[in-house]
Amino acid sequence: MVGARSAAMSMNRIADVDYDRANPRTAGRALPTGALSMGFAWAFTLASSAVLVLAAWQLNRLAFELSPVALAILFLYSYTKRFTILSHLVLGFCLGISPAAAWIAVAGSLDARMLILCAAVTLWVGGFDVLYACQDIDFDRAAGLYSIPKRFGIARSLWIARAMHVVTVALLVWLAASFALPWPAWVGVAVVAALLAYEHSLVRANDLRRLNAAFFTVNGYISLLFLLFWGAAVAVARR
Amino acid sequence: MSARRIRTVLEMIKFEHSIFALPFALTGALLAARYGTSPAGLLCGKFSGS
Repeated sequence: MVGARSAAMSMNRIADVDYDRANPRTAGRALPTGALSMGFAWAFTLASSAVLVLAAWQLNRLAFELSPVALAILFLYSYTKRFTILSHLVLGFCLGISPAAAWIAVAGSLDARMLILCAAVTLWVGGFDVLYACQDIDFDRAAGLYSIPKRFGIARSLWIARAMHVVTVALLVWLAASFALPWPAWVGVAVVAALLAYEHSLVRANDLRRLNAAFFTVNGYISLLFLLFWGAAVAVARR
Repeated sequence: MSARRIRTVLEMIKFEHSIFALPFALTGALLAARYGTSPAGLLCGKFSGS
């Protein structure tokens, strides 16, 4: 996973270098400023991809066979902003495939129920990417990039993100039910729902200032507390 | 590679954003170890003591 996400982020920076240079928010990044060279970034992308494929090869056949598919999905994202407002969901999907991939890593096959978790993570990340994209609305307009805030405006985008997160919670409920997980999983879903609600309470259409470190921290807690409660649920589940 | 260069690379790949997907991936692995049916899954189940 470290290989996959390192390759993905590095590739994303390479693909976006001209956009990053033009956007004041991102002009200070390593490639636009020359702190790292394009050659280095390409070599780093290649090496990280090799780490992913090698690790998958050591796991099992299905993981190995799907590793190029994972890389293709991750690299595709970098270009989606240029032609579709669904780019937020593609980014979400890049993270969403990770729990399904982890299942494959352990089991050597895929369980259909993991697609529910894949969809939940996709909508969670896609939703908060819509919120982040509200900051770039002016730049996206000028650069001709596609985003939900650019198409629908900030106020309606906030509602779209809320709807996505409501579906996220519904999917987690479905997932907990499909595995018949014991009570800690349900507490975990409630905690995630509460944190998502808090996240949305931080953001107003006319005030995006709190789309900052606090926002990042809440998302981190969502992820970690989900693991904590679902790990506990798996531990206490009866055989 | 100097410490500063490593820091620049970690910044480029937003290493701290691993916090978003990694716990979900670990949850997927735990679910597979408990509910997966392949030999590898059973093995992991044994190791985790369940």
